[in-house]
Amino acid sequence: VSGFDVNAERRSIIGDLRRLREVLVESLAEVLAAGEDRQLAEELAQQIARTIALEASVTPAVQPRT
Amino acid sequence: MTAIGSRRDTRARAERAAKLRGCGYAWQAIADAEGFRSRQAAQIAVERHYAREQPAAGLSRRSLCEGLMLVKQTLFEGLADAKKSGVAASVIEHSREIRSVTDQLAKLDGLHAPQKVDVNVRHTTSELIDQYRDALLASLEDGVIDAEVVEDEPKGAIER
Repeated sequence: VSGFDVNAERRSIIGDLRRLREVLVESLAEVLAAGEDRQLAEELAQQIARTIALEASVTPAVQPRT
Repeated sequence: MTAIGSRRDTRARAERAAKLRGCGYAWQAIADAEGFRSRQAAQIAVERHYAREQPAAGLSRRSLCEGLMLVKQTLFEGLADAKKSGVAASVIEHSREIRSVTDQLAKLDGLHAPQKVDVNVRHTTSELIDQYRDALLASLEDGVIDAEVVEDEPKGAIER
């Protein structure tokens, strides 16, 4: 019997988002290198930013030492 | 007579049934697909599967998660294909959906960091009163308030 492991779920989700971000960054590099539509590049950049925002949202903050 | 498999087979069948349920299949369809005697038998097998896997989680929540995981898996395969074929527009579409599904999963699992609200009180009450007084005096001509002073009535002097 295995219980719900919130940390494992978190790691899994963060891992997926990183994979997604990597693919997006590679695609952006390809679009820029090919000199394709600028709007496409901007859209990819937005997707990267939103992916990072979601990754940050599910990543626990490091508590500052006081 | 229905053949009774090993415990491992039984659990694997229940897991497959749970995945089908996560995809939205009806209990009867699951029973037909996996060879359960009845739809109730399929339902019981899935409930036991969830109870084994995640005793603290609700059935509907777990079912939603299973469904979303399958959707996410499919979307990642689509993303890989889009990337391989070099179609950036398709990569963007898959990215949107993957993020949406991931966000829903994170919400279901309660993974989002709570919003932190910093309340920074910069003024004390006496400072505020001083500010209001200065503002009032500044708004008056010659710095004089034209008003009538009314004395307080002494205590105990109740009007009859």
